[in-house]
Amino acid sequence: MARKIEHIYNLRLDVASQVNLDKPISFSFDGRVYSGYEGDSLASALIANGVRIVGRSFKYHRPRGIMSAGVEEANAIVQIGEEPYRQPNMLATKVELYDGLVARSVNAWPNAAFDLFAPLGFAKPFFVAGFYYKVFKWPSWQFWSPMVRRLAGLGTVPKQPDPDDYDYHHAHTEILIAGAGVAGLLAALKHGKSGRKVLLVEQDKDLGGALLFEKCEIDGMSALDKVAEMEAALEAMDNVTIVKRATVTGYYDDNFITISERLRNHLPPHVDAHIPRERFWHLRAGQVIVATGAIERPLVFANNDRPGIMLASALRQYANRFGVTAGKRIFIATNNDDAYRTALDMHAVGAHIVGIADVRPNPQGDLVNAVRALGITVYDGHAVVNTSGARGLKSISISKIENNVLDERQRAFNCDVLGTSGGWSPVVHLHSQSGGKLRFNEEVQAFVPREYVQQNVCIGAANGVFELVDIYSEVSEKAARLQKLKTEPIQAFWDLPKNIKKIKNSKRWVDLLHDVTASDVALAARENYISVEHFKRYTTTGMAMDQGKTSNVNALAILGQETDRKIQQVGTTKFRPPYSPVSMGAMAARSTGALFSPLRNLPMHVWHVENGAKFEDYGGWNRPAYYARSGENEEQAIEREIHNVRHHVGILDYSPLGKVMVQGPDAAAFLDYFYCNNVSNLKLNRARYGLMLNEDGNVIDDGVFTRLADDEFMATTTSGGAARFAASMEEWRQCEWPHMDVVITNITTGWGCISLQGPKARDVLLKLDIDIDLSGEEFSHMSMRSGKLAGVDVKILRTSFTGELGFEIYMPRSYANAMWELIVNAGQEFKLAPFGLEALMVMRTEKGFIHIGVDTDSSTIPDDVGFGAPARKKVVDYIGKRSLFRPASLRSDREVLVGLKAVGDAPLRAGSIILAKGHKKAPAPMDGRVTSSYSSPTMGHPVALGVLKNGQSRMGEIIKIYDLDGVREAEVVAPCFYDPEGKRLNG
Amino acid sequence: MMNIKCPYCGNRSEAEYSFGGPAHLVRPIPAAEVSDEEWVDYLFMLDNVKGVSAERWCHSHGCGQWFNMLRNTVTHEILTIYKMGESLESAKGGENGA
Ligand SMILES: [Zn+2]
Repeated sequence: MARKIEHIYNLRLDVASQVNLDKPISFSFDGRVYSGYEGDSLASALIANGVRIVGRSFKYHRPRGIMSAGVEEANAIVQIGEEPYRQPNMLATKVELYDGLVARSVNAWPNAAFDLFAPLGFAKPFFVAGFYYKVFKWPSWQFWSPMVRRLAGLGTVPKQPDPDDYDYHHAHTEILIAGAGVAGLLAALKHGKSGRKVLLVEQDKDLGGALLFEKCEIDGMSALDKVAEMEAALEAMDNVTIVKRATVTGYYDDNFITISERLRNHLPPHVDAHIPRERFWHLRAGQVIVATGAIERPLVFANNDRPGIMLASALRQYANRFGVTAGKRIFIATNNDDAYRTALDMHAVGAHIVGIADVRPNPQGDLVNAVRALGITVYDGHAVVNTSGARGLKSISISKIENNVLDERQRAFNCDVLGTSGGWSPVVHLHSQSGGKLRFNEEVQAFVPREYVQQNVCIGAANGVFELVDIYSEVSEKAARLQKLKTEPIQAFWDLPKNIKKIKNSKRWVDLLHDVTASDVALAARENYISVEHFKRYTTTGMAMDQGKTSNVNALAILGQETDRKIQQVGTTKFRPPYSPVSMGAMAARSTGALFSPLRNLPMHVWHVENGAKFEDYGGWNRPAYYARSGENEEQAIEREIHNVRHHVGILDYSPLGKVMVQGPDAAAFLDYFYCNNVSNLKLNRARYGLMLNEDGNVIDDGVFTRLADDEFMATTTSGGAARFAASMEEWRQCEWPHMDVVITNITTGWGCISLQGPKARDVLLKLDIDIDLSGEEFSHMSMRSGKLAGVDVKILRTSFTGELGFEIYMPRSYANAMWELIVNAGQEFKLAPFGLEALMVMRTEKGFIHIGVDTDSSTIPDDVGFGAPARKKVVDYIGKRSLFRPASLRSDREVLVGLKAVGDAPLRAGSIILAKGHKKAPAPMDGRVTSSYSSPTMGHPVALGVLKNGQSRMGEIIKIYDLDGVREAEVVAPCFYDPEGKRLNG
Repeated sequence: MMNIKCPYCGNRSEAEYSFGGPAHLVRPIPAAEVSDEEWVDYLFMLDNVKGVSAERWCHSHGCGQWFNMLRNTVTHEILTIYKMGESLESAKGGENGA
C-alpha cells in the first residue's frame, strides 16, 4: 500500500544556475516519479520537489533529510538502479541525475517517509555508546545479531553478477594535484607552466570547487568565468591531464596513490556499456599537492537532526549552483563569519531570513554588517538550543549564552530551514594517510597540517587557508584583483552549556550517520574510553561510511570538554583510506569469475575435455578428477579406472608434477641440504624418494630426485609445491650458501609428463619405436633412462605412486599431446584407459603412500611417517636436522602414520577424531585423527590412513573414532594395504 | 606501497618484492654442537624491531635476487639497501649507526 509521501511543491528558484531548464528529466525515489533537470544532483532534484525525508537514521530510525551538498553527506544515503545494476551506499548529494534514474532510501521499510521501524526511536537506551561491546556480554551476540543486522542495513547488494566491466589503471605522474578548487587550479597552472607532467584530479563533474557556487568576482570576472578561463588554459597544456569524477581515495607509502574514477555512474546503465563503469587507479606520484578543500561542521544542540537542518554553506550551494532552496523561511546559527554569506545569498534569491543566532558577543566583520544592513536581525551571544517538527523542521528556539551559562529563557521562531555553521575542517585525510601530523589551530578552530613525511604539501582550505584572497597569495604566482574583507574571528563552540537539565539530557547528535549523541560521548568518557582510538571504536563515532567527515572534530572537542583536555591533547585518530567509499567492483576489476584465480590447463587439456573428463582445481591446476562414461556416476567411474590400472594399464596426465633441475659441480652437496635422506651417494641414473623439511624439522614436501649426471639432478615435487620449492632453494643458495656452484631451474611448465601405470605398462611402450631396454633386469624400479620414444628425446623414470609397474615419460611440453595420442592408440589392445586424480588418490592410499598436506601437517617430522632412521643417520647437515633432536621431536608418544581398517562397510570420514584409549564417546582427549579415507575396490573394504599416538606399538588394537555421525571402530594396521612386499611395482 | 630500489633493477613497487625476515641471522652449525637454547634462539627468538631493522628482501617478481635493506618499521623509510653478502657496516660506508 503506497502512502502519500509529502505534498509536492516547487522549490526551484527563478535564478540563473548550472542546471539546464531546457532539459527536464524524470526519475523515481522510493517508487514515486519526480522531475528534475539535466545538471541536477539527485539531492538538488529531491529538494526542488520538496522531498524532506530521504532516509532513516542508522540505529533509531529517526527521519533524516539532506544535510549537505557534498561527500560529507551523512543522511541522504541511497541505492541507485535496479538488479543487476543496483549500487548501495550512494550519496544523493553526489549522484548526478539522469533520465530514468531509480533511487531508493536505505535503512527504512517500506520507505523513508513511512518507516515501520520508526517506533524504535523509543529504544534509545539499548543503543548507547559501547552497544556492540556490551551486547557481546549480555545475553549474547546471537541474541542481538538478527535484530541489529536487519536494522543496520544500508542498502542491499545485487544478487546477480555485476554485468559491468571495471578496470585497473597503473600510472605515473610528476605532480598529482588532488582537488580542482581554486587552490588546485592555481597550482595546476603554476606547475603546468613549468612543463612537468601534472595530473589534476577532481571528484566533481566540474572543476572549480567552491567557485561553482560562491558569489565573488575575480579580476573583474564572475567566479564561473574565471574557472572556465583557467580550465581552458590547462586544456591547452599537453603536460597537464585533467580527470573529473575521480576521487583520490588513498595515500600510501612513497607517494603511492589510489584514485577511484567513475566513468559511467552518471549515465543510465545501458548507455556506453562498452566503457568500464569505474576505473581504479594505482598511481605513483613524484609530488602530491593536496588541495582537497574543507568541510563545514554542524553545530550541536538538541534535536539537531531534523529534516531541514543543513550545513549553512549547503544552502547557498543549492541556490547558486542548482537554483533550488530547501525552504522559504530560513534561520541561521553560527559561530563564524562564513554563514553570513548564506544569509546574503539566500536573501538575494528571495528567501526570508528569519534571523541569525551568533554565539559571538558582538561580531563586527564586513559580512556581518552587510547582513545587518539588510535589516536582518542578528541575535549575537545566542545559540539555537532546540527544534521541533516530527517530520521536518517547523520551529527553533534560541537562548542567550553568557560565560558558558545558558539563559533559561528561550525565544522561538517558525522556520522550515536552519543553516548551521560550526566552522570549517580542512580535509586533511590524505595528509594524515601519508603519515603527516596535525596540529589544532586555535585561530581557525581546526586541525591543520603540521609535519610532512612524504613529498607532499597541503594548500588552500586543506591547509586552513579559507579566504580567497589568502589562497591566491598562498598559491598563485601573480596576484588577483579581489575584494578584501574585514573578518571577525571564529569562536569555539562545540556543545551547549549544561546548566539546564532538560538540555543536558536532550538528544544532541554528533555523528548523524552512526547515530552518536553528545551523551554517548559523555558516557564513553565516564567509562574511561578517553584515548581517542578507544573512544572511536567504543562509540563508533566516525566509523560509518562518511568516516566522520562532519562529526570527528565535534566529537573530539566534546570529549576534550568532558575530560578537561584541550583538543590538541585529545588528538585525532589516524585517517584511513579510502577517503570516500570505493565499489568492490572497481577493486576487483577484471579479477572476477574465472579470472579471480586463473587455473592452469594441462598440455592434453583438449583431449581430456573430448574424452569426458570431469575437472577439479588441484592446487591451481585444472586436472581431470575422473573420466565419466555414459551411464556411470562418479563413484563407478573411479572404481572402473582403478580396476583398469590394477589389471591392465592406465594413463595419467602427470604434467603438473613439480620438476626442478639442479645443475653444477656442487649439485649433489647442495641437494643434500634439502632432503633428510642422502643424495650424494645416489648412483648415476638412479632415483630416490625423499622428504624435504623446513628448519623446524617439519615435512613440507616430498618427491623423487634422480641423478642424470655427476653434476645434474632432477627433483620432483608436489604439483602445488614446485614454485615454492625452487624459490626456497634459490633463497638458501643466495643467502646462506653463495659459495656453492649450482643453477636451479624450475622446468615444471616447460616439460610434460605422461604416467603409464599398470601391469601392461611395459607392453604398451614396446609397441612404440623405443631405443630404451625396458626389461626389469636392465631398467629396475626407481631408475631413469634417456632415449628416443617415437622419435622424441625423452627421459623415462620408472616409479609408481599406484603400487603397479609404472613409467613416467618426460618430454618438452610441446610434444606431450602428440605422444599422449600415440600411446593411447598403442595401448588399445591392452585395454589402456585414462585415469584421473581421484583414482590415483585411492590407489596411493591403498598402497600407504602419504599425500603431503593431507596425511602430514605443520607438525609432522620424518619419524612420524616412517623416515626417522635415514634422517637421524644422515651425517651431513641438512635443513631441519637440528630440530629433529629437540625434546619435542624425541618424544616417544608422537602421532605417527598408521593404516586404519574400519569396522563395517562404510569408509571412515577423513578428519574424524581418534578418541584416547579407554574413552568410548566424545568429548574425550584425542589420540590422533583420520587423514585419508576411501572405499577400496581393490581390497574390498574401506582403507584409511591416520595419525595415532604411539601408533607403531598399537598394531591390531581396535580404536574408537568420533565424527559427526557418531562413534566408529577401526583396527590399527600397517599403512600399506596393497601388495606390501612390492612385487607388483618391482615386476 | 613502498617504492624499493632493487640493487640490480632499480626502483620498483613493493608488490614485486617479498619480505624474507631479518638479515644477518647466523645459522648455528654443526647440528651436533648446537645446544637446544642456541637453536631455539635462531628459530624463534627473532627481534620484532620497532624502528630501524635490517631485513632480507627478494625481488621475486623481477630479477629474483635477494638483498638486504635497512628500514624503519614505523615510518617505512628505507635507509639503505645493500647486496647479499655485504655487511651493514660496509653499506653504511663508515657512517655512524642509523
Ligand atoms: Zn631486481
